[in-house]
Amino acid sequence: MSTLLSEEDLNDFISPELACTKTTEVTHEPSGVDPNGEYVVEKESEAVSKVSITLSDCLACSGCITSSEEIMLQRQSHDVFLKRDTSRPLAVSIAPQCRVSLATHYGMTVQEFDLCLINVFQQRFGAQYVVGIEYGRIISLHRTIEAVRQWKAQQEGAAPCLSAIDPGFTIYTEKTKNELVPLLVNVKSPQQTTGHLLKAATGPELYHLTIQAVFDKKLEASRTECEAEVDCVITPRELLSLFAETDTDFVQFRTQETSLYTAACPPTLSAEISWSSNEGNSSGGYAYQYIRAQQQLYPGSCILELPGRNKYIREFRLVTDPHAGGATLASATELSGFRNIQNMVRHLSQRAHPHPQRRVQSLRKRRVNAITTSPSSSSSSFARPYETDFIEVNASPGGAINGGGLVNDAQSRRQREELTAQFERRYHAELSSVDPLDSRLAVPATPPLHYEFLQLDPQQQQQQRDLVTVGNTW
Amino acid sequence: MSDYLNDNPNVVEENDLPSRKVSEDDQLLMGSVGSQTCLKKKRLLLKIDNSGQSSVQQAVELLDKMLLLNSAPELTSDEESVEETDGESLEQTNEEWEPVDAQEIYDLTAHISDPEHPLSLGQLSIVNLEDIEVHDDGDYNKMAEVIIRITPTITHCSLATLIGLGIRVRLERALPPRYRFTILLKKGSHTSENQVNKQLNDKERVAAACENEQLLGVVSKMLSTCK
Amino acid sequence: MAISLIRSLKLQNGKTWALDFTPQGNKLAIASEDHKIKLVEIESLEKKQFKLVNVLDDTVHKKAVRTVAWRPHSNPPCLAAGSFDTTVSIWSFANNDNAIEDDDDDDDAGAGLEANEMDLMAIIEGHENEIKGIAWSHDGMFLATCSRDKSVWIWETDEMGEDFECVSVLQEHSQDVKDVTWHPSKYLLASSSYDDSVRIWSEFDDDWECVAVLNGHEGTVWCSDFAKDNSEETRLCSASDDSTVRVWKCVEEEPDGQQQWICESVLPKAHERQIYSVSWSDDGLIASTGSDGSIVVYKESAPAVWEVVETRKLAHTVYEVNEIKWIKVNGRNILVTAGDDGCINVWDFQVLLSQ
Repeated sequence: MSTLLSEEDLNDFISPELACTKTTEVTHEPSGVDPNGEYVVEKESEAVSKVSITLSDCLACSGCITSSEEIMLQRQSHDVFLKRDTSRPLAVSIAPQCRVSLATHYGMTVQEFDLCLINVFQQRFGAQYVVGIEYGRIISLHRTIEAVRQWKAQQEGAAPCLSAIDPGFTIYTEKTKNELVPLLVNVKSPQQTTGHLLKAATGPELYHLTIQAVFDKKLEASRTECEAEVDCVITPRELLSLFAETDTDFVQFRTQETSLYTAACPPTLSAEISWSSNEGNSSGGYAYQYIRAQQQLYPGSCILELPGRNKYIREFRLVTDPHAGGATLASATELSGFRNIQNMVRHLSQRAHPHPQRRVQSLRKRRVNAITTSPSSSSSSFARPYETDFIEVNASPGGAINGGGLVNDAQSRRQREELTAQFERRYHAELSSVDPLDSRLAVPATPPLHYEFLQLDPQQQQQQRDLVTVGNTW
Repeated sequence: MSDYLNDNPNVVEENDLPSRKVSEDDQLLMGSVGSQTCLKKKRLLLKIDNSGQSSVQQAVELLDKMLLLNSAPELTSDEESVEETDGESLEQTNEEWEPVDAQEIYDLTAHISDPEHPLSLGQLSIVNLEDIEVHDDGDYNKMAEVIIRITPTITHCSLATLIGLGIRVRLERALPPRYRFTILLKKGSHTSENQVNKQLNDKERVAAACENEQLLGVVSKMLSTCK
Repeated sequence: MAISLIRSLKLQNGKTWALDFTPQGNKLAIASEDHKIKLVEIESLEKKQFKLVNVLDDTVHKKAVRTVAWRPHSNPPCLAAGSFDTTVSIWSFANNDNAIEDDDDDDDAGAGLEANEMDLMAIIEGHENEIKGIAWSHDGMFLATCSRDKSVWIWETDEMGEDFECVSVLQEHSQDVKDVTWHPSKYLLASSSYDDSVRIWSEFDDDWECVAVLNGHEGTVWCSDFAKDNSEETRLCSASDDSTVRVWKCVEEEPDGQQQWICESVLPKAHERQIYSVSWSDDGLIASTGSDGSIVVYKESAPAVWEVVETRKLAHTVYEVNEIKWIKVNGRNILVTAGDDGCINVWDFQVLLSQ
């Protein structure tokens, strides 16, 4: 495999349909992710009908998941987990969206599910720790707020900075819009931060399995600078396969024993906080919490919530008392879904590198001047995402709560949206909430955790663009 | 040689490749193209091709491309009306044309280099005389069909699409436009047979591939050993 | 009935991929392999006079121009062109630059358009691979684009065609999407694909969704076209690699927005090879063309019963024909074809009413 693959990396002749891991829809055995079929490179598509990595799961995969990424993905599967070195102590972390999805699947409350999960991993797989990821998230939130403040101070009026918490968006940016990499807020995600906390509590020999809502989290964990924090990422759908293959009857592990929370939590962390969530959207609420943090600096200011051109864009704007003029003090946007990301990157790229077609520019200006009478009044009631300080970006429409790895048996898009809305409601209703800005919170100190983004110089960017547009395949 | 992954144990010697028994050059050429003018052209091409030097080959490629890119110059002016061609009648209608046969198709394709090996498609038995089908009554006004079944050296060889592309480009350049080529993987020779076949016979995909510099470079290299 | 050649216009060496008429029917835009977009004006059909009036800036597209489409209800006329270089360019006839403020006055004036100069208004980027098809909705509000990257994108645009905002990325096709076409009066889009299916898309909420999948073809579906009649019925014809043309009909719209479609007819087999293009005329005739170089015209002799009324072989001599389109000029049915020989052929189609 290796010689042939390296050859193909240079002159990738595999046509997309041969190389692509994507298939259309999951039509049968929705929970059965074929352990062998999943990332097979060369197979007739009919045979790979069970797996579905769609573009909304992984933005980078439309014909451009390279062989090396497939290999990376292969390192992150429940098979790999089962074959791990069992002499290493095991810690399991789980993202809150996965808990809601799986609780729905098993017909449990989220708390019932959490206890059952802890029990299963302790009894069945010998886990030492089983935790939620809120600690990691709070740290990511704090670091993000600091970074956005710095950005705002240094770049007044320039482009917004963009969250890098969603690896699907990050990889897409690195690979196809490299000129936007400087806009990324380089703060590691809760998945990685949680891994850091767990390993700090135990030691590097700890094996960290994390359950995440989107497939791209596997790619994140496969980054060189992330390997130390996470050993394996699986999705809830794979978790079901894991249980099926190990003859684990999950519901048999149902328990009322709430002491499990503390027993499965490292002494350096609080179980209560780790299994909590925070205000804001169900993907972390980075935009909202940044605005809240800014609000604390301006007594009397208030937060406006402004709708965007579709339901997957929303702006939070901090303004002075409306009676005192309502001037904007800070602003942040939540933006998700491929189409919105596309519009955003086109807009920001254009701003970073004005189009070489100067004729278009001048013409446009002329026409705009002639025609539009700039209705500035409308700007106060609608989101202006590209004018804000910070954009929280999620690849899945609606964020991680709509992640492709969640157990979602919906057949149509409408059904899927309904189920996602149900997950969203349960997320906010059943998870206890902590205030990440509460100064009394005992958050363990961690060193700043950063990604090593692929950053290309302008010439390399051009080469990359050529490569992408030429297409490695035909 | 055994270092190659898809090394074929049965490499056919160049001299043992099936060939037409007629040794007369001209007769061979007449058999394939027919008219005196074409014969001249072909001779010229052969000379260039035979030199096998990449620079010459590149020049030919370039020329090919330029011919494709250049529109008829007399049409670029706003003032002139569009040139009319008479679609009703065809030139050379009455000329005698001898049909192309399998041997000629074989000769055109067998010397294409394998993208991975220093060997030709004929030597590796990827192209075989008995797997070439030609339906051609020699009428210049009618379409003719050529079906080639190729046998990749290993069943999961991902270079099959590239080999097929090379064959298609070679034939489209060498033969007049009335030929329709169908390039197929021999049954059972490949795990993704249907997909490769579909791609190789998709006109749009092939046309786009021919505008891909990277691919074109590889294809040119493959074709540089053609005789 | 008879098909007769009015003119054959040789535009370049190399393939002509596609063509489209202005809504007024007096100008043709032509997409070709040489990276260029050409404009041909029909000066007089009777006198068989055609004129190449402009070749648009050929530095804009770096590869073959695959598809062209005029925007309906646009004044000045606006053209979109999709290329293998992954981009779509938007062009508009240049107004008198100095009189921009007098836009309202210019709008109804044909005089300013005589120049035939077109300005590049925008370049739309986003697709990862070659653009294969583009189409404007009936009101010119939406532009649909499709690509080898397996996706269909829907863009919303402003009046001038300068700002394009992507309102939907549709990814349900499992392969290369070859063509998109809009319903003549509804927001209903059909996409044809290398995955052998046609998908029907409709607006829902603030996004678009697939409301039907038309399975039946046994090869790449290259092209589709909606019936133009104003009846309640929604019908679509499709052309495929399997050398058949099928007519599909929407038989039910379910409360959840999903539609039930049936394959109403498989048209009599008249092509020997791949069919690349199909066009449904205003008065119910279907024309198809493709790899075998034939033009075939079909008529519905009774509901859902189709017969071949005319076949014209070797329409572009021995070359393949990539596109066919009906256009009505002064009440006459005209067919225009684009071939691999670099020609645009204009055909007269006479219907003998006595039949």
